[in-house]
Amino acid sequence: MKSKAIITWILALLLLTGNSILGQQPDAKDIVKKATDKLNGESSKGKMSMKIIRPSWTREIEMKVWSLGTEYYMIYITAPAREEGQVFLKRDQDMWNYMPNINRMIKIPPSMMMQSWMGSDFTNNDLVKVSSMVEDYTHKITGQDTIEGFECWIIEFTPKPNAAVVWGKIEMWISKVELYELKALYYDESGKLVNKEFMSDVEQMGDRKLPSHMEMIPVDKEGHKTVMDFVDMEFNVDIGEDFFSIQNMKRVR
Amino acid sequence: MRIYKFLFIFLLLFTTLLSGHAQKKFDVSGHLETLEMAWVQGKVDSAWQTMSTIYNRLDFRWYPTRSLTFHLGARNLLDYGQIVTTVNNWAKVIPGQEDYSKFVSKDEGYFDLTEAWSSGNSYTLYSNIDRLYGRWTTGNFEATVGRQRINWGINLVWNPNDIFNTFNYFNFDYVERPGCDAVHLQYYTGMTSSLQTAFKIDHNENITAAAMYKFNKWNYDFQFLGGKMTDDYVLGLGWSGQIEKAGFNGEATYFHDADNYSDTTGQLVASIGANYTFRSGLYFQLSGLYNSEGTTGKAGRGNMFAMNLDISPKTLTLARYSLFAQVAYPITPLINADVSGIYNPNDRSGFIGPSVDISLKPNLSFLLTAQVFTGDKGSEFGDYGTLAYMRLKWSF
Repeated sequence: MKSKAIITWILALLLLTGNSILGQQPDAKDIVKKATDKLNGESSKGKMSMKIIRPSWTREIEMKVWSLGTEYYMIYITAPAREEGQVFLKRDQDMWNYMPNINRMIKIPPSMMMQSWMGSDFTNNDLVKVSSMVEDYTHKITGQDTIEGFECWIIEFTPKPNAAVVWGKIEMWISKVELYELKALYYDESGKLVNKEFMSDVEQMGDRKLPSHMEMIPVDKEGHKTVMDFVDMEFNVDIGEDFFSIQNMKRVR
Repeated sequence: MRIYKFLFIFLLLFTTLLSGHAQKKFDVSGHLETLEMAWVQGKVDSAWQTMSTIYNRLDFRWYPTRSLTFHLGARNLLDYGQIVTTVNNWAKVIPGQEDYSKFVSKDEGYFDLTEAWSSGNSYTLYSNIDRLYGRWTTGNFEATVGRQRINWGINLVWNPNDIFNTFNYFNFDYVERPGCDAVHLQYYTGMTSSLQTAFKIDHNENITAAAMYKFNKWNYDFQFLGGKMTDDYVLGLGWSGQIEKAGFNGEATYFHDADNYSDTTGQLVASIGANYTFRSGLYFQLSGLYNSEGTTGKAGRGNMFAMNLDISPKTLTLARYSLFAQVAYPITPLINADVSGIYNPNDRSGFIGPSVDISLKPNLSFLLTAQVFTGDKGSEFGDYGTLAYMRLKWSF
């Protein structure tokens, strides 16, 4: 009797652990964190192009970008000629814009952060506030899907009560093995779908493979789209916090 | 004249020497534009005066090493038309009125880097070098020597802190703004803080020397400055931050005559501003300027051309109070509409400037704008009439 009880107990234990190994879903926040880390690296530098597409016109902007963690960003515009040399710097909550031709430094107020960045479907906020994707939301796996052959988790982001975020809800498709963010749907506070985001064209960039092409499509605006391409990216490069200074803002090129 | 020849040879040498370099150590940018202007002094059916300008700007930058930068910025302008003739006719009869070419080719700097190449009754062709400096950087230290723009201003309209090279708000076609002949030393005490000092000498050998400390605290940028501007001791402060989500900035400078310190009272010039951008891109800006020495009576400067002369932070306007408002809206990122206005509450004169800027191609833009001045005779804006402009600008 006694031995049977032990066996039952061991079986039950095995079943329990086995169950947790086989059946338990991975932690959603952990996936998001790993995917975000993969996309950003500890630090990065590179070249990007952004194309704003509207029904009757398109506009293309080229830039160099540097980042360290999620607190520090620097963006240097290389084209078009009229905007060339403009620099954006973000340190924690502060953001500046430097215009070299008039040697003018402007501190960007919060209201301007919500505005579209250089006419695109991104806001200043989208550009420099990636940190909130992990910390400002709670995450839940809501399903599975396959996109372009990649098996994905579908993760739902709900903003934490006091988080200063724009979206009411985000749904994101992250590939299970490679941790690529391949698709995202952005909803406003009333639950209405606002933006669709697609990432594709996986390429080797520096030490890792990542989708190199990204499209942001506003849902209720026919023919509107912003396309971003990573031309050249390096990750975990040797740049420190001191790179993201007002002094260096005037020197980078 | 000699300096131009020297520069020409220098540039030629530069371009030949550097053309073989694969690395981008040499950079040329600038723009070419044509500006059409119509000036109506009285009613719309009075005689219009017109002027055309062909304007080319060139900026050469050379980065011989990581710590050295050289910058030469030059403007070449051809002004022609009735307004040139009118000013030249005034010069013949009004004592003290300069002819057009003398008027535009006056250099405020210690070195005369402005030259009228050719002028006649109806045209003037001239060049002006507004940047010619070398910058040396080592660690946290930066030294800039030569003709440069030292921009200590914060407010987007009136800059009492900008004691080195004052800018006339109405000169919308000169965004780069004039330079001054100076030595500027900066030491970055932190990632967002710096200690700087500058020494400037102008065409009258007047000296402006001052120091400024800038830092970031509580999500605000702050600055404190002190020094001497020509005959005045100067003390100033400025800030840029936010109230809720709106941008909030201001600057104030106190001037006091150094030679007659005890006999005179000082002058306080202060500006304050706020701006807000809606998600749609709709942008509002409000600003106010206070000038303790300004008049509460009629604040006119006389003729329109006096507006450009010798303005300093003490004479941004001659009025006690000035109010500014602006509404801007990007109809699309390629079409920007903007209306700004200034009002003098004492003499009840004002200015309204509507504009539309259209990006025709990535580097080609078309601007339509006007400066409508209203007020009684002798008031701040009463004697200027209406100016309308059309500009086609190619940037490269």
